[in-house]
Amino acid sequence: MALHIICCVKQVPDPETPASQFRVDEAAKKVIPAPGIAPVPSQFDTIGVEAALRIRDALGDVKISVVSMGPDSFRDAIKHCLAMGADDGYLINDPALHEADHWVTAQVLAAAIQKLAPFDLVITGRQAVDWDMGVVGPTLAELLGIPCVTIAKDVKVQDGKVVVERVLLDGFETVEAPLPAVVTVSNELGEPRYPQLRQIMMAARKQVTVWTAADLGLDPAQLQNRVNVEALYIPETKVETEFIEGDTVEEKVDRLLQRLREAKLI
Amino acid sequence: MANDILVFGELTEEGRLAPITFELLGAARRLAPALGGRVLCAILGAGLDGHSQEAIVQGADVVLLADDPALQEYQGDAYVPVLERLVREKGPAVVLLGQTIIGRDLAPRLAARLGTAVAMDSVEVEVQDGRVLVTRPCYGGNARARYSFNTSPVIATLRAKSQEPLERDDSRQGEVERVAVNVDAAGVRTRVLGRVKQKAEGVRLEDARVVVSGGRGLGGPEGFQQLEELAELLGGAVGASRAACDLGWYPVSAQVGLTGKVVTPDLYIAVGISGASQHMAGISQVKNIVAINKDPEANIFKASRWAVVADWKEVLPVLIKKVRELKEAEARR
Amino acid sequence: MAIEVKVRSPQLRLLLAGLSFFVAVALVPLVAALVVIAASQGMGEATRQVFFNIAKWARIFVYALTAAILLVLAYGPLSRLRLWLIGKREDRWDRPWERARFFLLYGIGQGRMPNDLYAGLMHLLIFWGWTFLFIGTVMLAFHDDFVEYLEGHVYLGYSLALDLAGVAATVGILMALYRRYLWKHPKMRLGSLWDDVALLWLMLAILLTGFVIEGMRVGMTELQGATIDVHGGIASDPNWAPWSPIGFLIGKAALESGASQGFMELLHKSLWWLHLAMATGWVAWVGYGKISHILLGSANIFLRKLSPTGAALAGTALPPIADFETAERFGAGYLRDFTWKQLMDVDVCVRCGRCEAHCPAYNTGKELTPMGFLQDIKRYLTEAGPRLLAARRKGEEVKEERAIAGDVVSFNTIWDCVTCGACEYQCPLFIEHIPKLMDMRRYLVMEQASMPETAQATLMQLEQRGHPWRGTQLTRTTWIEELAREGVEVPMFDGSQEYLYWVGCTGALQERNVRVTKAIVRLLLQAGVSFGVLGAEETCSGDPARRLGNEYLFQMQAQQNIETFKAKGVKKVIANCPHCFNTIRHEYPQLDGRFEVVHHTQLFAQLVAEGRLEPRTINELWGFPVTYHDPCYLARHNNIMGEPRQLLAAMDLETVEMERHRGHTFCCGAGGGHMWVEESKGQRINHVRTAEAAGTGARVIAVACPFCLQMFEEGVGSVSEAARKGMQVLDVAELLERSVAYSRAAATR
Repeated sequence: MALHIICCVKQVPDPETPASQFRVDEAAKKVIPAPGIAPVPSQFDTIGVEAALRIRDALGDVKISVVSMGPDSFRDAIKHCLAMGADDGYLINDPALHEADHWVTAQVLAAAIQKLAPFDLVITGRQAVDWDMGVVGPTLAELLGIPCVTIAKDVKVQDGKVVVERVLLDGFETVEAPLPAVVTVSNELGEPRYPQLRQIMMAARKQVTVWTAADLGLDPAQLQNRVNVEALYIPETKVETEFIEGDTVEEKVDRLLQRLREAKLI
Repeated sequence: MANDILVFGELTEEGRLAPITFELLGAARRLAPALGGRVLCAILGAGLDGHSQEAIVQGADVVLLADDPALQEYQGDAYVPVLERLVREKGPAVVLLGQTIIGRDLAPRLAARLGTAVAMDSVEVEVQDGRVLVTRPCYGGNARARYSFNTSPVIATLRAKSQEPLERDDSRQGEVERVAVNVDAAGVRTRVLGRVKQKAEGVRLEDARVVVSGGRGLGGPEGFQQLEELAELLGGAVGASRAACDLGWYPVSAQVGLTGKVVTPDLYIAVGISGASQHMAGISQVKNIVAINKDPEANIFKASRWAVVADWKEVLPVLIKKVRELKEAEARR
Repeated sequence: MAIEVKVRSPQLRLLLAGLSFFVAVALVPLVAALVVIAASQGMGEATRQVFFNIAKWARIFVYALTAAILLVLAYGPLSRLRLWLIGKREDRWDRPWERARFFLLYGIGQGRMPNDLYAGLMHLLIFWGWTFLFIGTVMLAFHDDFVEYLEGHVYLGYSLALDLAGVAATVGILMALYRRYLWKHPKMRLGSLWDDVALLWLMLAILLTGFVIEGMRVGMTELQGATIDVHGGIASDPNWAPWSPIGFLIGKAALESGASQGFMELLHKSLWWLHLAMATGWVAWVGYGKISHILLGSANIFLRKLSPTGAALAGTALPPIADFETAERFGAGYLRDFTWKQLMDVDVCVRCGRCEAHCPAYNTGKELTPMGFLQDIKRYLTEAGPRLLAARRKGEEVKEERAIAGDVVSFNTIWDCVTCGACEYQCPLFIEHIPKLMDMRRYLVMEQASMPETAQATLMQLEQRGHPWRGTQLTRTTWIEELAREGVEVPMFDGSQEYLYWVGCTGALQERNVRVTKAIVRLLLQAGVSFGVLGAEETCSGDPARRLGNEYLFQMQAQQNIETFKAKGVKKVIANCPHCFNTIRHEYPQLDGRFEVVHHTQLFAQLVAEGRLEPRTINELWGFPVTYHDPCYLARHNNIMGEPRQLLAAMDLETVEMERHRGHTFCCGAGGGHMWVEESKGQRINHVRTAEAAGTGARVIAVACPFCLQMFEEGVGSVSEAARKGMQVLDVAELLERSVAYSRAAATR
């Protein structure tokens, strides 16, 4: 009884890009990729693959598919997940979809997931580390008509149900849902495993299946964005930094405390 | 009505209205004149009592109480249909929720069911030329994006402490409406098996008004003891950068940053933290940052209001001593 | 207890080695010359009766016994050889003449032994004493069976030499016994009943019985002027006796205490047979246990890794994996994944403890001990080896074979290593510790993905971002832009310049190290050196990836750089990081990238010598003694120790050396990938070294490596002794810049 887990992943500009290198093209409303800094798989997405792999470690007979929607470069993110141990990768690469918002993305992914049915579990990251939205996961659940558990720090499959430890403000709750279901994972789950070299080499040889919207039975003209990005800009940091002067540490601390008291912060 | 703003009110564990609700009401009140509608506050729960008054004095025109035992604890399958029905009945132009554990689960699903979209973790909602525009940070706080919607209603979750609540006005009047709730038990597919509270020592990071954070510059876990001392004196919480957590110097639950917590204290003291984007993403809303770092070129200084270029090992003991003196003097007064 | 005397300079050590050789070889003619000079009357016939007082058939018996014993001896190494051949092939037979020369210098000449002066002296005495006694016995056999040449002065000289040899050996053995049982030296931690107790006492017994036998013979023959059965019967002469001084003393004492002839005959005869038994037993023992180092150790010195030339240690240039696609296993996980030579190493180890005594991990309370893990593998090889061979012969699967990597040798042991090379540098038998640990690390990383979390994060970081410095806010060109703002144009390498200045990841991406990079650039520009940099086209040299066990990543990174170098026409490289220096110099050639590399201290030393840079006294450092910390990858792995010191001397700085300096330098703790990987437990290595630096009274620690710089910067802030003194850490280039700028300022005033 093979369990089928589908993980949604995407590639993002490196969040570790030094702030000085982060640039935005305000006219195009796009981030300008920093030269020499390669994009990376979105961190929560790889944690999602890790969650799937842990389920496989426990149960054994588990197939893990990785799905992504984006341009050809997103192949790298899929390959990375294959190297971690996923079985197959699918890329939905359609120029008509390159300006998709989260709603359209969710629809396309839902169609892809249905094409890969039967499936038992869909795992996504709690948010993507570029747009930081956190919408696609729960939206997928609604589109697929299946239950959804968000912000998981632990995911197990037992007796046809998924048992999730969900992060709360001051602890966690254990939630159970029947399969199939959608689970979004958070960083509390742990670090994604390091790919073994043989996996990397095998992944390099694996083919990623590429689909267009048509392959999914979708007409891009029918997929309308629900939100528009009116502006993308780097906010001006209106912070005037005062370097606390002082000949001794005592003096500096005194001055700092004076400032903080003036600002009624302590 | 088509110009109304619906606020989703949240309750604290003790059963009172959470501060986020008042912040949302404040935001809604500021939007109301431009839209020409009323502010509705929906509260879902069990044993709701006296909450309506609280909501009204903080800005609500109408309070919608959905009071049902099935709504005692949050479960998406129970709350989403109830809220969906409310929104369909009342037809507001804008729905505001908090960027909370509940909001992050509820809002996207609500939007999907209502055939609309949602902007999460927003910091500004405004009306321009008759359109509702929502602004939110993205790219780890490095950038801001402003959205307009092609669908209705506009749904947004607002970041905690990004909005000012109104001054409490006990003279305000408002309506209270108890809505009928029919939670389809079979429709609630999830089941909460249990809850584990991890004893939070002292103030919670997300709620703290003061956060004292340590980074790689501390050189080891020992430094955090001093941070804890300082935090306790200031009535705050202790945070840590990803680097410090990776090295095992402080628990991951205290991690502040892109893959940690976003915190919004009034005062953030960063000790031995260089200010990598990763970390800055967690404090992008904080207005008052004090940074203590040996390196005058550290990135964190660019975002700091006050910069102390010194070795934390020298500064912290003195700082702790003086704060203690201050507090003791205050106590005596 | 007794003082540990360390012999520091390599020149002095080699001198001592040569000296011992010379003394030993010169001893013979020396003694002979003595004899000739002090020839007395009546010595013309001096000789002795071989097999005196012993039955006639003993002669044949001795030869038969010897032959049998040699068979027993031979079986030992042969049986171990079978076990080594569980391992893979490796060619160690190249350049035989060079190997023979090396063996002469370090095997016979014992070049490394005097590093521990007491033990070195002790071993020298035992070695030469025993060797001469052995040669003497062979000479006697030759005299007895073929040509009777041990007569007259020759015989007397011979007898004197052998007595002295016996005394030397006895003193040596006594020193050894003292060291093990009274001094209880920590290096002797791993001792065994047979190999250490029994062996020493046996050798002492052989020596002492030998003296007593000689004493009885001298007492019965020479001292009494008795007739001996030589040349038909000649009279022995009491004047001969003093030429066998110990025998003379013992014989005289026996006679004077009234020992009867019968007693002396009995004592002589019985001790002779006992001595024969013990001596032949010892010879047989040479095939086994610790004493087999005579054979195995010699072989190991002969078979040491010779390439690449200039790489001082086996761990300097790690071997590449030739073909990832066909490799059966990455790295070494089980016995059969090691090479035969690597397995032989574990049998060569005599548990002298020098490696352990110098290992920074062991000395800071960690699990790793170089001696320990070798012995662990040896134990397992002995226990499981025969089973594995038997199974292999039958073509069967081996059940429950334990993995070496992670099981026999623990995870922490493998990860504690900082590849500093102290173990290899100290080992008198040239055992190669580092490649074994690194091969096991490769297995853990590439086959099992089993590594400390910080190592995993670093490898991910290297793969994704091409540098190990997670969280840096700088880019590879930030420093260039900063210098441009100051009006300093940094030339970009375009093939027309003489040198490529390879900045490295740390030099560009860590604020503290950027100051060193800028200093170097300013100095190069001032000296008019033709150079350029690659800026954003640099990617990590690959050293961290290789040392963290990811050979695949290393090759990808190295190949990328080699391609860039070739495309740009790079021939000569200046590196400020000893790790980059080492990798480009010794490891890039494995991937067909051959470039001339020089460390910045070497180049600056040359420029100063040529007068192209004029350092002057740095006034602000008067009264602030400087101690130079030798980076492991310069001093031990590449033998570069003089140039940085020349520079410090040229700057007229008051220097003071730490006790562990030059080849004996104690690691800063950042090697082997540990710049980014947390230490498992115990004291932090950099704190120990910082304390040592503080203990010299120095106020400034001079470094020549970006990792050492980072480590000491952290250290001087954390170690109370250093913090109290307000110690500073500066790269030699930073000091030079101050010194040269000072002189330029002085010149322009």
